[in-house]
Amino acid sequence: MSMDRNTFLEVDEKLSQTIYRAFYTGSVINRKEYMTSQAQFVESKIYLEIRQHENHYIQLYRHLGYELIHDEEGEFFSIKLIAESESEDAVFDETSLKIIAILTLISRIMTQRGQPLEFLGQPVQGITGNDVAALADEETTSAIFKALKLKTPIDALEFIKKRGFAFRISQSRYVLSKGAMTMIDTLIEREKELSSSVN
Amino acid sequence: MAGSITNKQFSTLETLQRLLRYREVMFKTIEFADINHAGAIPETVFYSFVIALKDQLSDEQANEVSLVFDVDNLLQSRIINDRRNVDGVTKLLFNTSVFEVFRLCRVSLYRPLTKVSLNAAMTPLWSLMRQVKRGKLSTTPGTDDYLEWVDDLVYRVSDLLGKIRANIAKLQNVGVEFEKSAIADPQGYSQLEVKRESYNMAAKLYQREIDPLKVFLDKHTRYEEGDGIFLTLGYFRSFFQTINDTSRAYLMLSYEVQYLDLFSPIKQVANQVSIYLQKTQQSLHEHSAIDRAYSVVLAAFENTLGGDLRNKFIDMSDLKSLEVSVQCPALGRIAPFRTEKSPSFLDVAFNELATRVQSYAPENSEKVLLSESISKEAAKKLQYSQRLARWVDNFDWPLNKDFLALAHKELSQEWPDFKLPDLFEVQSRLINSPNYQLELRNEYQKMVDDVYELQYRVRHLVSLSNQQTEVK
Repeated sequence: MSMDRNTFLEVDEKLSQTIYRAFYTGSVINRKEYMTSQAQFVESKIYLEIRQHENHYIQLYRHLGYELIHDEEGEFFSIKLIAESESEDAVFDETSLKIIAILTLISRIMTQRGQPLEFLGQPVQGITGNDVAALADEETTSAIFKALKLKTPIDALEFIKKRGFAFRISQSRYVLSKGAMTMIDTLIEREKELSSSVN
Repeated sequence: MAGSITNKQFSTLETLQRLLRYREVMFKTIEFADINHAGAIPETVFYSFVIALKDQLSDEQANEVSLVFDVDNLLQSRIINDRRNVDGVTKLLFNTSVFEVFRLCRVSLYRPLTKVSLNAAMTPLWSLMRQVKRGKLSTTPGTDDYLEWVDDLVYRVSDLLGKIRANIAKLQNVGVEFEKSAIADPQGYSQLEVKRESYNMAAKLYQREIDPLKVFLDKHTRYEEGDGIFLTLGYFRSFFQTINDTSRAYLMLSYEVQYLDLFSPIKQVANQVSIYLQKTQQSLHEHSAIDRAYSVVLAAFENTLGGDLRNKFIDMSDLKSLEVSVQCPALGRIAPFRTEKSPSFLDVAFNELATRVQSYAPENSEKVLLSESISKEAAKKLQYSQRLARWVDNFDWPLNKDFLALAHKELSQEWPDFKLPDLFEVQSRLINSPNYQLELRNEYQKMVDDVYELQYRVRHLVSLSNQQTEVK
């Protein structure tokens, strides 16, 4: 913080609290959030708040021992503990692995049907009640969810929703966030590299 | 002329009419010849098609079919050019003009126009152009020489035009099919292998037929060997203009326009198929990417399926190969607790607890208490050492003997997993035993196994109950 101006006076106190609460509950902050009332994705106020006062928030969370990270592709903010040493705990993030495992199981339903994965990020398609039923019906998939400490596919969707990687559109329909789609894209890009290195 | 079928042979016209009536046989024959890249087909194969047809017909019709498709009849009516024995197989060589007639009747039988065949079609045109340029052909309209080469030119240009039109019709059908499957989501496409095969087929078609034709019909195409069709036609048009043959110049212009008209349909087909290819390739990547990720998740899950009740949940480190660069906020976790939660700390604590609990356990219990909380390795070691202790306690130890040698002898025979260091445990158990006292001798011994060598001073056991005296 510079000596001549106090950035705390410039930021929105209420929004800053909302941001802290989101991070505290383990959620990322997405640029676009699905608004059920408007039935579409809208720009998030708190995302804009961070963008506008990025230096302030970087400083704030650094003082708390965290690094504020912006994911350019997935368009979201997250924070990461500043590790004192590169201990083994810091090497991988269990939550993100759990999320990618859930996304894998959901995506598999689509690829098995020959549907493009981009549907998962479109509110008109997303993950439907039928998809949820299909996930629950498949014995192995259902057992894998349990082994991931998730009782049902709905629990799994709620798990990623709570962390800002999905939104609920209606009673039984969800849509993935851009961040989640980026995670899936990473898998696909990796596959493309693999197949081009084979050929 | 039909009617009576007592005649054994039909004229060419009559035979052709009947071949067209029973055209399935010829279609199958052409398909077979195309697949095998052979102009000749084995007689047996041909007759299997005829017999298959006859099965569906009335007796009278079947009789007619027998007569028409009789080899002698086909030979005399010049439908078949030759019947020849090749490597012990009798083969029928069909007249290619007859084949062409049947190809006309079915789009799927059109000969593919590949780069090679397009090139072959252009070669005579280039040759004519060269000769005109060199002044080797007559340039006087109305003369026989002039009419001859000009007729040849017109024949070739219109023949090629016809072939291209036919092929575009065929490719348009294919294009529409592929476009449909790029948009739709038929169940049949869910299989990765099926999808891959269809993709390869489309890719081959695109590369072999669609793209060369698209290039061929492009206005500005030039080949290594000569100009493309438009530039060639343009050359002849201006040539005819210079010699004032306006009707031929006009004819060339009209061909140019007709060829030009074919460009947009082939471009449309090319677009349809390339959209299909792009979408399918993306879908193939998606499919195999997700399959690969799923196999990682499945393997991690299968690790939890063993008999070990501690492994109910997936070990997240098994999923490491899925790692993506995305970070989830970890603000909720409070840092100072981390050390206490670390697996190594907990392992030590639980091993210690298990060992202590075990020493209070009933003597002959096989079960390791707290086995769920310690590692499998540690539980095994604990069990082994318990078994050893029980054996020491129950063994009938003779007094005044080298008990280590005795224990070694007994244990190495009875226990397959016995190792020399176990003797230390035996000795320490006996030292702590309330029944015996150890007596040191001035004698040294050595024991060797594959791994260890043990040198020790011989000790004897002295019973405490019988002899209360303490020996040095």
